[in-house]
Amino acid sequence: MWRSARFGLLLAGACLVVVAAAEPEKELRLPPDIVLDTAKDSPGAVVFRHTTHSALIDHKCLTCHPRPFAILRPTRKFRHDDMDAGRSCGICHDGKSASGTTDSSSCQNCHETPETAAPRESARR
Amino acid sequence: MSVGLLFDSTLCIGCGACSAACKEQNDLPLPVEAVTTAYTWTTVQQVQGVNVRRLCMHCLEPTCVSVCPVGALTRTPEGPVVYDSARCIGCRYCIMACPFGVPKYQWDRPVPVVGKCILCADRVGAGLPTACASVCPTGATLFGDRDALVREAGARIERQPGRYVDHVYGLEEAGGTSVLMLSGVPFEQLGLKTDVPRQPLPLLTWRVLSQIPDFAIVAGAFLFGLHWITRRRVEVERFTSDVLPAPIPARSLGSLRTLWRRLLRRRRPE
Repeated sequence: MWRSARFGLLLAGACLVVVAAAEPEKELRLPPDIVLDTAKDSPGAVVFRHTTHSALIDHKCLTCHPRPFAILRPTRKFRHDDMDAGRSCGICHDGKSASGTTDSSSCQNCHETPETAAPRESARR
Repeated sequence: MSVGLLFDSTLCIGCGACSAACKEQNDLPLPVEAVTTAYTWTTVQQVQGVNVRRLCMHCLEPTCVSVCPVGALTRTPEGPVVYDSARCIGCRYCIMACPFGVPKYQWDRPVPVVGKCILCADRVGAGLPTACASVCPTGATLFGDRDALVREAGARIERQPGRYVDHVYGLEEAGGTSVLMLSGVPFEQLGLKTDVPRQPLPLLTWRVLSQIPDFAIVAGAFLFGLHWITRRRVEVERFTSDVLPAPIPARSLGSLRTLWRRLLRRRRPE
């Protein structure tokens, strides 16, 4: 009797594993990292990563798309002037919600230096 | 080849990328509204915890196309049902005729036109996927050949029968649509119309309309024959009768028509 009960348990466990395997987590295929245009006096390239931003806004693409950022034709040109005026990245990167342009210690939050450069996700499309 | 979309509501996370891409592709004004309007051609609604897209179903035999009196709505050979605002006269018959309630009117404009998803006909014509499908981060909206999508939908149901309702919405609805939908809960719970006839709706009127030319010819010939026989009978009677018609009293000469008839009768050979 115990034997059959144990067998039953085992079977139930196997079923659970099968069900879990059959229903994978919703995997997000986010756009590849976007390397922004770099000005001459830039301290380093800025790479926008969807992976770091998407989770912060609960994967609501509409928070940033289609305004202020186009979704079909992504912009690569952003200026500190615009950000300081509260436009483009500056909507969040204002120095309060997220690091802004004025604090010289937070440059490397966005600008990569050879030391801080993280591996870039290869382009998917 | 006929293209289509497969929307799998069990994969949708409601991020709204499809709506954003649609707005951008078709130069539609923001914001993205909660329901489809003349300016929001697709939107994601959350119904009982399930994310479901609202968009034109792109019928294989569209009712809107069949009722449009000026041909403003047409179905392209690839599948998209497109709209030409330059031809539209604003009769809004398409809005009344659509079994899915898709076309919407610009009620706030002095010169309004209709707005509805056109399945990115320009992109599709250029061999690109629709804007919504190209940005979907979960693959909930797939673009491809309709036949392939029908097979894919069937395969998904077969692979995970517990995950899906055993029905592909759009496979037979209104005679089949280019947009197909899968769901884990009954479709009526998602606010989709499930009482849509399974046959192409233009057939309802076409069965009658296609008979009209034949009917007109046969009925016309019959009525003309009837008229000819009756007229002949009266004529024969008039010629064979000895008695002249009674003279018309003077007081009824007021009518020119009566006078004319009277003159005609007098000219009859004696």
